[in-house]
Amino acid sequence: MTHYLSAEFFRTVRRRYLYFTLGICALLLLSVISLFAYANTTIPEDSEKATVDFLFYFFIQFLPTIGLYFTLLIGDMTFSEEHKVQTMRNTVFYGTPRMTIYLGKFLNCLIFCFVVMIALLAFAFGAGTLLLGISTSFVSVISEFLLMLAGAIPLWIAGAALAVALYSNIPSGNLAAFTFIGIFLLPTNLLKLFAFMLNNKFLSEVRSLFLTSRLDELAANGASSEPSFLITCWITGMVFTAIFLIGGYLGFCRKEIK
Amino acid sequence: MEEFVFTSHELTKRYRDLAVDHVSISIRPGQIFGLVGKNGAGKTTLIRMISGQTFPTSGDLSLFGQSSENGLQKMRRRIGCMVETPSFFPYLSARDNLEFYRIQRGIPGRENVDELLRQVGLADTGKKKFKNFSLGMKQRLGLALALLGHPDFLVLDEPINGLDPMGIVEFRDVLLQMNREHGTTILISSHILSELANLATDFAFMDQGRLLEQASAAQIHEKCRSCLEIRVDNAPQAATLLDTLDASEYEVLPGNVIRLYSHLEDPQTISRLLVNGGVALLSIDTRSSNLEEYFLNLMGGKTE
Repeated sequence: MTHYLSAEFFRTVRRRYLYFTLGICALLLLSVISLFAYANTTIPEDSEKATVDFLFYFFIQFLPTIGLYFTLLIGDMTFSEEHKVQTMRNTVFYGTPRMTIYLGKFLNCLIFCFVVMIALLAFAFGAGTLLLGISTSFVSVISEFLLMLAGAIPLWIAGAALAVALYSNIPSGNLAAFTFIGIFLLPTNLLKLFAFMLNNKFLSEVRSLFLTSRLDELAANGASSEPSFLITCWITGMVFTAIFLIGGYLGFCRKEIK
Repeated sequence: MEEFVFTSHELTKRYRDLAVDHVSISIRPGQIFGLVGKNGAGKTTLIRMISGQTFPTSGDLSLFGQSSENGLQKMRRRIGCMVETPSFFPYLSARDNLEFYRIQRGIPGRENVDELLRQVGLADTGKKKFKNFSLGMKQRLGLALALLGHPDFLVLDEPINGLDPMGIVEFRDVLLQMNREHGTTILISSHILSELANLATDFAFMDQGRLLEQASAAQIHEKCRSCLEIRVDNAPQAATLLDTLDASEYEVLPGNVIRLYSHLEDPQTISRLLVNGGVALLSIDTRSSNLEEYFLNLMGGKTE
């Protein structure tokens, strides 16, 4: 597994995709920070100005859902279109177990999700501090942010597991991406619709078990999330991770590699 | 040393139709085994099962005596494969592509990659990306990957497609060198039968998923020898007459056909002998065949 992961790392860091992704995300962050900085210049002197705390509040509200879809992007990056360019067979030829390939892809995806997130958060903090400044409430905001992360990470891991399961089994990268989005958007919204139309509490309860519902709740509650809620986030995340990983592997282990 | 590098027993792969139909083949160490068949004969499917890309519907296969799933996976580390057009990461150079697989396979020695690139004539491709390679260069890189880690068994599917004549000669030399110096066993499928005839020590002929024949090159050569093919009304009587001529190298085939392997330059003497001996001579032709004709005869004259 270490050889497999080393090789995956070797390839991923040599791909422009990684640097384009980082660059575009950094530009987007810089745009948001610049917007806040510009807003600071247009409001009256005695009004409360946006600081880096504001930026992290912004993250608490939007990052849970963005992070989920970000795992799809990193999954695509780390999978490197292996079905399209038909390179996976070179790995299979050498007798590398399919389990190693599958888990290797998953771990590589998690590693790069972590690396990219750390890099972007460091950039956001640095640029935010420089352009917006820092206030005395920063420590409490960061603790709220970390609580949000504590709940979101297991849910994002499940997202990465689904991305790897789909990219491993669906030859078309675009179809895999649409399926990923469909799996997260369709069932939860259909349940929401039916629960509303039928005024059915059970359907609402079922919907609350979904990853996207947990992430929405996490964004809405932020630091007010109780420890028990964080525990349910971990349980939900781990259960969905297991389901996605096992389901994906069952398809992949007997799949013909072209 | 293992008795067989590869064996298959009643190996079958079914998609919608039967792609490989109860094929039993055995390959011994040191053989250069030519797999011959037209498109759709089942050669690539057979190779895909050997390489682990797909799984048999029924039947068994073994590599170096191991036939369990786990054993096969372990033994595949002793194999170098090149199946169809080689595939690599388009955004990496030849060196980076090979380095990627060297790291993935845990093969020590970065210098191995440079040595392989030199061996296949790609040493000076520098930073040129794989996506900009010609088909011949891709084939060479595919061979380099197959040779990575000094495999005991090379499995090559149509490896000379896209190579120029010089490349084909170099390719053949590399394979022969591997076989002679390292005892590498080679399974090679190709449409270019003249090239296979120069290389293979053994052949298997496939058609519509079935194995038609497995024979050594010496056996094929024997069957392809030049001869006089004589059609008569009474083959046993003709054979008795040929015995008086000290022409012992002949065989009697069904349909009153005799193949005579001597007196090739003297058909008049043979015809005179037979006619004077009371045998009606229907035809007499000089006949010789090469691997291509042998294959076509085996297929019953069918072409694609």
